Amino acid sequence: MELLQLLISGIAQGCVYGLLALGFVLIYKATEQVNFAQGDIMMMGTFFAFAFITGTSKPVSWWSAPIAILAICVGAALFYLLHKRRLPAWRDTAASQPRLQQVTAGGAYWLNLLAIVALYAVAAIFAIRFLSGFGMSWWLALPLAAICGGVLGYTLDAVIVRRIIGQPQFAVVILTLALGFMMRAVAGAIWGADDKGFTTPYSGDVIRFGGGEGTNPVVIGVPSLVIIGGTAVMIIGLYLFFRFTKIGVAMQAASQNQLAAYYMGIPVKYVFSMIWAISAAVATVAGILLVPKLEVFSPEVGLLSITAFAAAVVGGFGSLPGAILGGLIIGIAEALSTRYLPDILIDIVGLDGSFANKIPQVIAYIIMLAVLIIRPQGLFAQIQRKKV
Amino acid sequence: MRFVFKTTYDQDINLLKHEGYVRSYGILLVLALVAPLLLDEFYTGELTHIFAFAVCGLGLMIATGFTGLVSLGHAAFMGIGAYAHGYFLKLGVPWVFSVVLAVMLTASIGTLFAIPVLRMTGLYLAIATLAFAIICEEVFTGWKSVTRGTDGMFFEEIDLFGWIIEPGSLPFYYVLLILLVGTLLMTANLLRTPIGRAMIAIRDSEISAQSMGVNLARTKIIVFGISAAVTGLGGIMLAHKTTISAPDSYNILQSIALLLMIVVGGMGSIHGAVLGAAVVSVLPTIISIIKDWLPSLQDIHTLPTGVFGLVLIGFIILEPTGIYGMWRKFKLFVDVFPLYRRRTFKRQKAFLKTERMR
Repeated sequence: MELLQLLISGIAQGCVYGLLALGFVLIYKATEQVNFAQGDIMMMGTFFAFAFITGTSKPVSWWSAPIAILAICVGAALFYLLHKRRLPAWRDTAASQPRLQQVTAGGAYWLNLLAIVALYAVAAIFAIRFLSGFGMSWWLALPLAAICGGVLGYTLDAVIVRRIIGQPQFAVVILTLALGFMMRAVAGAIWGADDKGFTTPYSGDVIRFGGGEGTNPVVIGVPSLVIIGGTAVMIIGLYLFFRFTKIGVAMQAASQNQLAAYYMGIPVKYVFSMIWAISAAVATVAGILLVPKLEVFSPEVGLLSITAFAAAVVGGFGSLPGAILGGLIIGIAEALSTRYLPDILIDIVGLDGSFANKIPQVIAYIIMLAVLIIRPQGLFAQIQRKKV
Repeated sequence: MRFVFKTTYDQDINLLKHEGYVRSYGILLVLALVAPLLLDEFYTGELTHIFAFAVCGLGLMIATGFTGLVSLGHAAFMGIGAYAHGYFLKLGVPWVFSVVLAVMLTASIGTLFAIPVLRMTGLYLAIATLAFAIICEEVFTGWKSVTRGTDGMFFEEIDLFGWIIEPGSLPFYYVLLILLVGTLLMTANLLRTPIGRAMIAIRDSEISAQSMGVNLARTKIIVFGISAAVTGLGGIMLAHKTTISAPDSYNILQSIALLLMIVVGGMGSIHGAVLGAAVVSVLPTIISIIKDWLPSLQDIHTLPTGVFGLVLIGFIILEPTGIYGMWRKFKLFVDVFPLYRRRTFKRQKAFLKTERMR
């Protein structure tokens, strides 16, 4: 029965990986950008939730709410006015070159942008200070943090990542890595680098069944079950969203062919930023659901995304069901190998104890390397060779 | 403005294109030679640190800057080089042979890793190298009989055929300088060989390189081996500089610092690797100076990470050609003084290169 416990725990962990991987894949499919900051966005979202739930110790001044609202309004108006003419319409083909050049030309543009970013930052700080003044219930904090995470994702794409269109792909990789660093530094500066935690309505609850005469009962943590349930709900929600809403269909179109989508009147830029927002919100929810299972979190929790990355690759990095499946494979493999693999390695292979205990920690990457070597494009390939 | 009249065909492929190069690099070399005599010990130590980092950066530059193989895990090769060197030293191999053996071992591991992995391109390759680095880090931690695990392996002095060189001493500086200059010359020459030409062709377009008869797989594998070897040498130098080799110094953050180095310095140029190494080595010092000025920042332990991120974002967005690109622009500005146009350095292609079609 130990196996069942391990399986449930592994599936729950795998669901979190799967949700993070889903974020990677959503962004990659649409924009061909690999967002290495996914884990750090998750971390930031979790910290938002932490701030909302625990509340601040300092009293909140009454004027922070109107100032936050005012700042957001002014910021949004400025953003609209400045971006109306200046930003490129879409990000494909040589036809967009003149407009792209317009974007990068001129120093005043960067000044404007800096002003907007500063305004946004002030607004965000005020808004979060205001919202986190109370210490609200988990049920309220979850959607609120997801929205904040979404706004963070949207802003990252609209303000920073969109700016390096046309540079080679590694530029995006390095840029998002750097963004992740920045977020880790910001979170560490605001909330400190030590372990944090918050209580949820179901923290520490367990379900027991079976047992009796000489056998141990099966003990399953409710947090794991909530993760599995939450993942299922979110997958169904996303499916319905992509299948039936107008913007969902537009997102599918834009990720298949940006140029054609643009010709059909889809606002491709906006759609891409929305995709960033969605994947950030999904990551935030995954992070919040994960906290009661791990019991603690810190700014370093973003490193989880590297494992989630392995999940996305095993799933083929371009297929949404593949991402979830990859996450489950990695999660179950981690849970089972942590329990059984060291003994096997020590007893049968004869490895050193300290060495054998290290192997389960990297099992995800070993699986990923194996998949990459056997099928270089992942299990669900979508790369084709260009015919010239 | 200099006009170079070409009188021989050799002038096209010479390392030093004209006497201006001879003069400026000559001055640089003399400066590097007399630096430890003029500067105090701390700055000499910083210089050796830069030399070691520059060699690591060159290794990554060969793969990423010149061939376009993005690697997120080059710190693993630094570690392999350093640990192999330390292990051979412990076995009693003379220092020079130990370095050569360690570099060869790193090269062969790089090549072996490259054979299955280089069938992938772009993103997948970056991920595979990332996975390799993570696995290597765990191996460094776990394989205690060779690497001494988290306690770290100590590098005391260099025994050059009986001549004992203490780290931090004057001869130590020159040993590292010689290694750096040798690596620089090797890389510059590598770019003039058929392999070097093929590397740049692959970076610019795999399809056209293949159409011109470049053997993609063979070139990439050789390049990865060379790149691993150079990085391994850099790892050895760094281990001697810091006198310790612990798994912590070869984690993902180190790999990313290497990448930061070549991006900040300037992608696709040898100068870039050295300049980037200088920035990455000096940045922590600058941060601590800033902290002295602004005591309120003392409590923020994540400041270095944040500053690294900020510098990287700034360079990627504002100056993708790095410090070396800035220098080239400045040089042209001076050369053609009143006639400089910003458009000269405009990127030709400003559209997304899709990776789904290859």
